[in-house]
Amino acid sequence: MLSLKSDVGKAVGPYHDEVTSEKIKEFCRAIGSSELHEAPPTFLTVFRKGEFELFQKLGFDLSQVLHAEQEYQYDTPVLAGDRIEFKTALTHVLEKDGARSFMQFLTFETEFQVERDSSLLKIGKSKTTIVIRGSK
Amino acid sequence: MEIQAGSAVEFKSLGPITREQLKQYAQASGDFNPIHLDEDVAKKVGLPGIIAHGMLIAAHIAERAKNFVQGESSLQGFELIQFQSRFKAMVLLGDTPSLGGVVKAVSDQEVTLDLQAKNQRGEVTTQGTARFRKK
Repeated sequence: MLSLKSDVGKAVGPYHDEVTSEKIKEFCRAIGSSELHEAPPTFLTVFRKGEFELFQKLGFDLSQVLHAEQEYQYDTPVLAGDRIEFKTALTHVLEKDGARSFMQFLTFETEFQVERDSSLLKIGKSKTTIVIRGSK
Repeated sequence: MEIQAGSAVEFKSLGPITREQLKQYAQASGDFNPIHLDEDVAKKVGLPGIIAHGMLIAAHIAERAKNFVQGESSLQGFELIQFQSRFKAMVLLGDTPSLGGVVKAVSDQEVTLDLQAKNQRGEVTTQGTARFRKK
């Protein structure tokens, strides 16, 4: 696998996605939450389209990807009926050269916002770090 | 008793991780990485078998954090402002994670919880840090 350092800064989006109450319920059920009406803290993970698109653009397969770290910062809770706008960028690449494998830690940042009552609100930010392993 | 730095967030156990659960989570989250769904693919990329989505375990840790704060009378009105998770080891089908940890810091305005998911052998698979602030 080639070094992806020169790809830092690549960005995709903005994307738009509608949040329905059904979608929130489906997510709550999948994580065993008893609260079915409030978007759980990790609900923002449903908006990973930009990350998946960047994975493809950078030329690696989803099955090579392991999740290393995930961070969210929250400004405003997601509500049913929101039309979320988000864009994603590759912000950091860390290479680890081992004896048998070459690993790259890639960090993607996504910013989320929503228009409510004709003003634009920040929903929050996500920072996803994945590791790609390539054999030598 | 008022909570303080060092107060325990009691560990609570989840049931065993099942294929059905991972399918349901893939559908709900949109993460269809085949290493969570297809044994052959998982083995082909060098994993011991199907592994759980890290984010499914992270979701459970976040829920544990929220439930803890909601259950403390001194923390009413505190809202989650940051959640971070680190995936240290794989969670396999049939594993029975338990989730808990400790209050790392608390003030009038903020509380930070340091949580983990441990598997049935007591190994930490996932770490989570949740920060809440009084609104």
